[in-house]
Amino acid sequence: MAIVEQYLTHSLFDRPLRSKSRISRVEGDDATVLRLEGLGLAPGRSVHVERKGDPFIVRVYGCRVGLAPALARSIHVDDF
Amino acid sequence: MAVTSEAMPRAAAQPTSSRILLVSNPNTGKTTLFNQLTGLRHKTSNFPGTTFEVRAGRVRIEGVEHDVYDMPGLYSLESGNEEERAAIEAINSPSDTTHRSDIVLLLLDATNLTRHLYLASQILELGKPVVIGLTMIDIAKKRGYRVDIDVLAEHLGCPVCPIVPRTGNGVPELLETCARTIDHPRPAPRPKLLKQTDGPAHALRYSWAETVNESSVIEPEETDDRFAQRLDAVLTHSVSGLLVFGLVMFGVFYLIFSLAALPMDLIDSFMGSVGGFVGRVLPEGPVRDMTVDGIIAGVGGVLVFLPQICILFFCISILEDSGYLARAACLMDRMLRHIGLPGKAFVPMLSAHACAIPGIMATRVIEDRRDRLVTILVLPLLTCSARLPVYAMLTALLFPSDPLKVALAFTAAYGLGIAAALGMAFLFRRTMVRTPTAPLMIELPSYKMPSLKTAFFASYDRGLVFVRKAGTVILAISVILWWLMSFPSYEPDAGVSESVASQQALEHSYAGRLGHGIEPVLSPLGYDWRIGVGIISSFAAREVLVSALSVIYGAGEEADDGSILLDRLHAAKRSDGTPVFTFATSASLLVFFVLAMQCLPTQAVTRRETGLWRWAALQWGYMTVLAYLGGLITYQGLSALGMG
Repeated sequence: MAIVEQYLTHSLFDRPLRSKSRISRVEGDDATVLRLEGLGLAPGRSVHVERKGDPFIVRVYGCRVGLAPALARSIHVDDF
Repeated sequence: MAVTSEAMPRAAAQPTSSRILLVSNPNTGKTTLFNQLTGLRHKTSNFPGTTFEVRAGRVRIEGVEHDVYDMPGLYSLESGNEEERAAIEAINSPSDTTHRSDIVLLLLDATNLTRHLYLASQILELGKPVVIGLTMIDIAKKRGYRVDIDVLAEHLGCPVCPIVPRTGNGVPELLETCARTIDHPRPAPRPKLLKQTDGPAHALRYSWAETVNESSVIEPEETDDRFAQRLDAVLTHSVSGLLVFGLVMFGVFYLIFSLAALPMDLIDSFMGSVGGFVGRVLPEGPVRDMTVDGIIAGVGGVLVFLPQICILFFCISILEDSGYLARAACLMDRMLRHIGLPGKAFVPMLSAHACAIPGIMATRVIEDRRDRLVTILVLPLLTCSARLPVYAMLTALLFPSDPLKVALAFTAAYGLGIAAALGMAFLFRRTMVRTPTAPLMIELPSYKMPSLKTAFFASYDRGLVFVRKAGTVILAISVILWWLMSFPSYEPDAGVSESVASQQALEHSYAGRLGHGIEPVLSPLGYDWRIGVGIISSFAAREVLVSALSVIYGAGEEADDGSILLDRLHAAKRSDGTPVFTFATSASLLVFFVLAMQCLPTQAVTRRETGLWRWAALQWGYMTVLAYLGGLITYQGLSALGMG
């Protein structure tokens, strides 16, 4: 049970408010993934959830970014 | 800008000016800095050797003039739509022979350094001389950031100058540093990141960025920006957000229409005086008529809308600078994405309510190519300023002496334009452009007091672009239309008044004959051949309808007193004795003008921004069909209901 949970990844969308997460994987077409990278939303980077809603607001490297909820669902994170 | 010396004919001509490419993430103060450096000495034009437009200006450093280019904001040199890729290619390409060298002036935000260093890592790999401008240094200090400039410069391998674009602090030192770099250009050293382990490039870049940031910047304790959080919550909330949005939009439009009224009247009377003066000076004949009624009237017709456009872009700059626009885009995305438009499309849609031309150009902020295309295709359906004189005339015809109903009709016309635009966007997304809308991802910049100076510059820039793009085409068409409406010349019957003479001349002109020709097509919409002439002439510019109808219904060319025109139109009779402007006909004409594509400059700009005539032609085609159907349904429907 513990081993399974360890490898369970959530999407950013599911993370609680004010949580800090590390991005593991980003789903999407090339254009979207590249744009997210430019904003700091790339695998290995940390991201804070600031507001759960539409827009889904996150903070990455001190900068607030608004995302469509669908996009938040496609950003997968590890548990911290 | 080659400088030749007579004394040394063997020496090659050595250009002295360089190109300074201003590059940064969006929201970094790049545009503000550009304004600081170039003042009014700039214009919007193609980046040399390319098809994308930039703001280009000149800056004088130590006696030498250099060209400065305000490149589009970039987060990375990898992603991008066509415009961004063209910009990236321009940054990458070697300098042309008319310039000594290219230097990149890269701006980094001191309060957000790590993310900005992502782009920096890519720029530094280009092998070009780089000067770093560290912006927002005042805000950084206030928030408790402490940046060690020397350490940062050492890591980056190029000079770093702290600046505050808004006030101009640090700019002289920046220019001095640029001069040094131009004199002794040496390519910036590649950051030592890619020599490490294998791994995706983005991971290496961000690791490097984090390392550089850690050693150069002492960041304050991470505190929540409570103010921004609360304000964001309010502004993006379904209810409060929409309310604020509605108020802001209302405020903007109110400002546009109230403040523009006086300058518009002034321009109108000024052009009238110019026309009168030229009319007296030139000898009678076709040259005089063409100059006064074709050229001057045409130019005047374009210039009169300049105040509205300038005020609109002033307001948009203020909203963007304050940080509100990004939040509004989030709100709008929630609604527009179901139709197939991105939230960012609302800024072009707002602009299009003054004029579709700057609106179409404003679609550059939309990252996805197909999102941008759909937005451009539907933008001209939104009610622009040029339609307003037509609405005013037709609503007064529909509801004489009933200002409440006139106001409602006006609102309905605006609403019809918006509904049609949204509907067509939905349709396009289901048929021709079936890919899904790009998902919203937008940086929410810090809230700040907007700069009036930036807004004035924005307003000036957009105004100039409008005059150039709209003015040149409309001028040409006005002359052509004047010709169509004046030839072949007709000797009026003896002893008739001037207005009747004009009426008869127009009847027998090519335009008049065309009107007769298309009458069978227009009669299901309730129009007679004279309205047909009006419609034909308004294909140059919509507001021409008013003066064209004025002439053709015998109210003369000086339709300054609207009541004369309205009386004439009310009294106008068809050949069978029934009135021309019945309720159904007027309503149908109003619907037609809401939906019709009657602005050739718009087609030209569409062609330019999409790269293909096909889209401009589609735009014209579908809107003409839509307008025809709208007019038809309105006329037949109202007649059937007995309101004919």
